[in-house]
Amino acid sequence: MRKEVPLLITFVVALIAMLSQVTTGNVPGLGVAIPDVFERYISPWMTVVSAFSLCLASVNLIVVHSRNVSRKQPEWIYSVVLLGSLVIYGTWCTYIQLNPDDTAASFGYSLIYNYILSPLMTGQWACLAFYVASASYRAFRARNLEATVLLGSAILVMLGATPVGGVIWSKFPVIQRWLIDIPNMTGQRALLIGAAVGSFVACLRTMLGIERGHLGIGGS
Amino acid sequence: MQISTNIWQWIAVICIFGMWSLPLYKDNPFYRVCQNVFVGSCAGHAIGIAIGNIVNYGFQPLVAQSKIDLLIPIILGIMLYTRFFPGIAWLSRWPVAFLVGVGVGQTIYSSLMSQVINQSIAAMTKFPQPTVGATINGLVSLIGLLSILTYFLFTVPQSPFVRGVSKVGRWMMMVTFGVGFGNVVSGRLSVLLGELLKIFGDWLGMI
Amino acid sequence: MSFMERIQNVDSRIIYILLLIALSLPLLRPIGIPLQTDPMVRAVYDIIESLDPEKDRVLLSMDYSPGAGLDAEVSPVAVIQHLTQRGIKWAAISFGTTDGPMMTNRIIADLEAKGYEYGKDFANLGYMAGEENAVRLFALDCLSVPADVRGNKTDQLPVMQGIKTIKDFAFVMQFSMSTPEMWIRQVVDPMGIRFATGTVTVSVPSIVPYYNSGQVKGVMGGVSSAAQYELLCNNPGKGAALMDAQSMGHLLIIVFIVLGNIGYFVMKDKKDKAAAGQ
Repeated sequence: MRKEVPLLITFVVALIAMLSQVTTGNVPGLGVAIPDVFERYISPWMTVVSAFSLCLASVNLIVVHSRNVSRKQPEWIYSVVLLGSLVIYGTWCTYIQLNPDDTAASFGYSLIYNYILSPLMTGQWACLAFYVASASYRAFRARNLEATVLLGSAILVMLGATPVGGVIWSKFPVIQRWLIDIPNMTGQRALLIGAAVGSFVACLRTMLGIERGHLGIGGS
Repeated sequence: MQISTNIWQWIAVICIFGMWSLPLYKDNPFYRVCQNVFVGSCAGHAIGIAIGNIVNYGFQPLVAQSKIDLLIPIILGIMLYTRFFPGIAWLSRWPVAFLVGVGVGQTIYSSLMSQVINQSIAAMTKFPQPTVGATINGLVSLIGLLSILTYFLFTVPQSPFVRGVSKVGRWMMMVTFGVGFGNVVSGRLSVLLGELLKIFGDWLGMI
Repeated sequence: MSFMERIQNVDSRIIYILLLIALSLPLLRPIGIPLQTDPMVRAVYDIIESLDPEKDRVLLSMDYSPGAGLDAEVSPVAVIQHLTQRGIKWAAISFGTTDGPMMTNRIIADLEAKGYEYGKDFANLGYMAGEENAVRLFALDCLSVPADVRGNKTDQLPVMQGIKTIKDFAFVMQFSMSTPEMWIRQVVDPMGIRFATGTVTVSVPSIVPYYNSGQVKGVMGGVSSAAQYELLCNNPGKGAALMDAQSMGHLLIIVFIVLGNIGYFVMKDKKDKAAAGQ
């Protein structure tokens, strides 16, 4: 019950999902078409279960930070801040989802989204530019021939990608285009093929129950 | 220069500086507050959207159109939360098995088709190409692809020939990673520039 | 401590301040360096130019969040401006991130302020959970989305009239922060639609194989592509405004790399000599 049922669910659902992409017409003896079963049942069910899963991380966050506050753990005040903003955004967003015609509430939510959440998120991401600059200075070294090739192609791409490169030398954009279109495309394609083969194997192992990590019941 | 009188522009800029205070200054309470507001608001937003989806795609069709079968995903969805109750935590494996099953089933064929077969077809260059340049490019692509794939072959004996081909593959990958790094720099700078545009344009009115 | 050692151990914050200065100056005093158009960007422009405003409709999959900033945001703004200029109706939906509908709302608010009509010229169908599965479900039955973000029934929206499956859209474009695998696997290859993608600069190298194979008909990557697109449409906007600063930022990073390496080799040489002396 605890191990077999989840493995069976994975196998049956994966089989239906897979066959729905490669079969047409009714299954002999059953009178139903697998693509129809998938489209009418499995796929809409997946949307609902996925929607439930979206809250999982948030609920976990509530549990962890509520514990911090109730036990007065170090820096618990920040957990209060987190829980407070979670409640405000969660309540407001839920309200406008359930009452989409309330334009005043939607406008209010767009303000707190566009002027608080959005700049916080972008501000956090923008810090990466500082770190990239620092890493370029401290870590990007031509230690050997291969690293020099990497460094050289990166500099050529940077010069070709911006208008100033074309002003310095008209061939920089041409070289950048060639690097992206030929060696980069080749490398990316090889990685893509390799990843897809790996993904196929991992999917097959999961479907057959050899891989069980996602269920938390250990591997084969 | 015309500093904005819109309170929301000020709040937005305070949020940006709050986040930047970590690299530009050091870890500080202002940054911590901003960080926690950020995490909390993202989680709250996700909850709101998720409830909207559960209602729109689950409860409403179940009630309004009597789609009784939707009880199954709703029960499975609720079962996801049994993980917070140690005694019945094992029940959350069922919806996880369902989610993984659909994901696996949908990917198993389509990834082979789109990423292996169609990409391999695209890689099969015909020779000679109309121009010398195109022929050389085609050769570079073909040799590069085969050599990178050879680099990842661990189950064949590493003869001098295989090692030589693998080395070509490594060089090709270095160029690929270099191109990747160039684009990373470009992308990160763009995000920072967007923020500067908000500060100098929307807030200070200097642009 | 020698000069070289001091240079090597410079405080990171000095680097950050230098970067801020290098990016800010061209923003405040633009130089106006001319741009060259990328064929992948031109391809998107040509597709939209080839559409018939009378009958063709476009689907936009808005799968980016505000985190990617202008790098993700300027491309959809430029494309949507082109679509509305040409009078082509479009609908937007999000599969990849819960932030998608809010990002679409931002663009729609600007369009409504200019007099364009929600529902008739465009619509925002909101977010659908399930990623790859949701993409396929929507592609097979576009009316599986019951209502838009304003509570209007999808089948009653003028912009959605006559749309049943994804094939009823003349062109589909995804704006995301990564690669468009889910669209390619579930819709482009099995259903054969005309598809292009707009993404952040970081993801462009990974999409080139799909462009080369024809699975993706056009690619827009970040601010520089958006700037090129804005100039193609004779409509310079935020993308074009950022390009000079982008150039200066790149030059500064290159200077950092060169200086860092000079310091590295000088120090290495010193260490080698000291080791030989011992």
